[in-house]
Amino acid sequence: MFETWIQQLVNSLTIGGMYTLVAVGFTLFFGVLRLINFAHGEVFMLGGFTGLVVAWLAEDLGIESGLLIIFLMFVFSMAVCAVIGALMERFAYRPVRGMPVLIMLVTSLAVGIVVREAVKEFFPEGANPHAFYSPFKYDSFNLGSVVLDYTQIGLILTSIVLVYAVYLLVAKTWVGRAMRATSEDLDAARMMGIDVDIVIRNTFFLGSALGGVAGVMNGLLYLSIRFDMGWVMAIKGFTAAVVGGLGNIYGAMFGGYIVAAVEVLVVALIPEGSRYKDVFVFLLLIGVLVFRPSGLLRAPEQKVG
Amino acid sequence: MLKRTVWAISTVLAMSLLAGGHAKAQTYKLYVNLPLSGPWSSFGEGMFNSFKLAIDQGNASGVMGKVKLEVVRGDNAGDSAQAASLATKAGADSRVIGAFCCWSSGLALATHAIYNRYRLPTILGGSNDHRSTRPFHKSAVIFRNSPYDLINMKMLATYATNYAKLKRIFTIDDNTAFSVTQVNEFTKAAIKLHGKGRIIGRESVQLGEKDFTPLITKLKTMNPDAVFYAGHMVEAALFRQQMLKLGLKVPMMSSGGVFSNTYIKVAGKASEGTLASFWGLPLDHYPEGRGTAFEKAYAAAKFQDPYESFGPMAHAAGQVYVQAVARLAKAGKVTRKALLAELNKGQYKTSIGDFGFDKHGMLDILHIGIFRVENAKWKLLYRTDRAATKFQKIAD
Repeated sequence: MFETWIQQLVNSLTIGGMYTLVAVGFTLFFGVLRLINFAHGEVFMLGGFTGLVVAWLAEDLGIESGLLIIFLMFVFSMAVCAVIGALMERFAYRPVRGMPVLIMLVTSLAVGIVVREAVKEFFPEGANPHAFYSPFKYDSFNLGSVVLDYTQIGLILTSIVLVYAVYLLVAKTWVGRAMRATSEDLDAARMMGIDVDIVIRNTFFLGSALGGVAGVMNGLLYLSIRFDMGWVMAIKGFTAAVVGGLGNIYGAMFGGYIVAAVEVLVVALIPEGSRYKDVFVFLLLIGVLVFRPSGLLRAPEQKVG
Repeated sequence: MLKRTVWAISTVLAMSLLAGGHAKAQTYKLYVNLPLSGPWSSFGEGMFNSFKLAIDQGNASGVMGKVKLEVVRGDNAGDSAQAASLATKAGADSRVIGAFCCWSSGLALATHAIYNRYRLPTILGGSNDHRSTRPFHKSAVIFRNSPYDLINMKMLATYATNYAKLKRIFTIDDNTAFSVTQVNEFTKAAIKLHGKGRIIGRESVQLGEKDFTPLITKLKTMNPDAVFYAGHMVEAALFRQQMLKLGLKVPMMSSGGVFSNTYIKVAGKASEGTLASFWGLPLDHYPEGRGTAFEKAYAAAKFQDPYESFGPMAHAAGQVYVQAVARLAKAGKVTRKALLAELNKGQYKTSIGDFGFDKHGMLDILHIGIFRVENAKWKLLYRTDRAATKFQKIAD
């Protein structure tokens, strides 16, 4: 029984790590632009597809080292997603910047639909799920009766390291200072000589690159990707970011792990609980919005905005 | 003023003549209402292509004389409201004489009354939930060209308990109408055969979910000797992979939502050993090489997406329409009413065999196959007779 609970803890940390990687993007966009960017789910999906294409090309080029292929997948996914994110900002969000929040929200939903349907229509067999490349496909190992694999460990470590790196970037560098200033008051930042367009573009560049990492990680972990996988992850990532505190980097991680823990506990403890796990997660979300709207982790000094 | 009025009347008359000219070309529409985007689009695209292939073949053959059929591509995106809207649009268009819907059971349930309101003959492709068809509702225009879950699940329960001798089966649905009813009917059939002991529990997952490890960890503690996953292929592939990774190495049974080559492709090695009950047979089991002829014609048409497991049935539905309309064209009366009467009495020669529809609109060949993935292919283990009353063993 004890080992079953340890296994559930491992499951929870893995799911939480995935939510964290997506939630960080949400928190960055909201922190700087007060934008709930639902198209981030589709950037996450694009990250997975880019990784898959890189793996196909690497295999065609005769690259045999699995680790090298994974490295290339991450690098190219981050680059492609960063550029796509920056383009989204330039051509979809900048024209509506300063308009009511609802306009920006609807724009993000529309951008998401365009990206999703474009992949479905133009990627070969885009409507179908695709098996993902992984050199660690069947390499799990046991600690007692607890099963672990390298991808899970990689995911958990990646989520922690990336969150810390983003925190350092935002809190300790001049780029981060400009982001925080822009978030605080866009006009005042402009008057202080900050080029807010570049700051916002950089934020999209960074947030979307993280989405690319999450997309590849998702493919490596679940071994399949599909054009419509972004929406569910966007909902979960957004929920995690709100629970932890939108705009708070550590809050994204905290929210990710809390949401995952709720899901796992409901499944493990309640008979037929898997039916209700989303109900409990969204009850948590409602509870947070009602009783602690700025999120469970309130730490203004760590806030992007 | 008079001049302007004359112009207006002339324009209207000219338009009417043009419309009349169109009618003389005798082109009628068949309205497809399938998930061509969204999570089920891989099945929908394969069905659409297969249906269109049959209509194109019919038009090219000249069997309908001067009458031509045009396929209207309606995408319901797997959404009930969208499917209902398409059904209304099809019903309201007088040039539409028939419909092909819906793949998903939930969408069939949402649209049958609309089709009935417009008296628009409709053939269901897939939509395995028995409540989609008469006598479980009163919509007289609905026909189906594949057996429903009452038959399919009875045969799967018979196979699982009497042939595979499974004693502790855990059931999982994915909260869709199709999946929930499959588990309900499988459970009822298993209980009828052997009492309550064979089904040890039930859980529900969500479409789009990717991580089932908490549920599988819980299942492991219950020691099932099989899991019946009555959902759809993407989630099923993940579920199977995660079952094996966590050491739950028992057979996974499934049905029409999973029976697909894409499932094998996505699940990879983990797909080996997966069982499925499906309301159809391998193409080479259909009479006179018609199944394989369909496969060749589909390949020659160079569609982007594969025909998937429901393609042969969709092709057969198209062939039914072509043959029915050919008979009506010969009699000189192509209308919805005449088509409805024809579907109720006719016999049809299709890729999946010769059949007609009974008084409830159900086709009268009820082939069910039990398949298992072996060497990355679905291998037929057992098949039923035409009336689905008993199994015939095909392979071990």
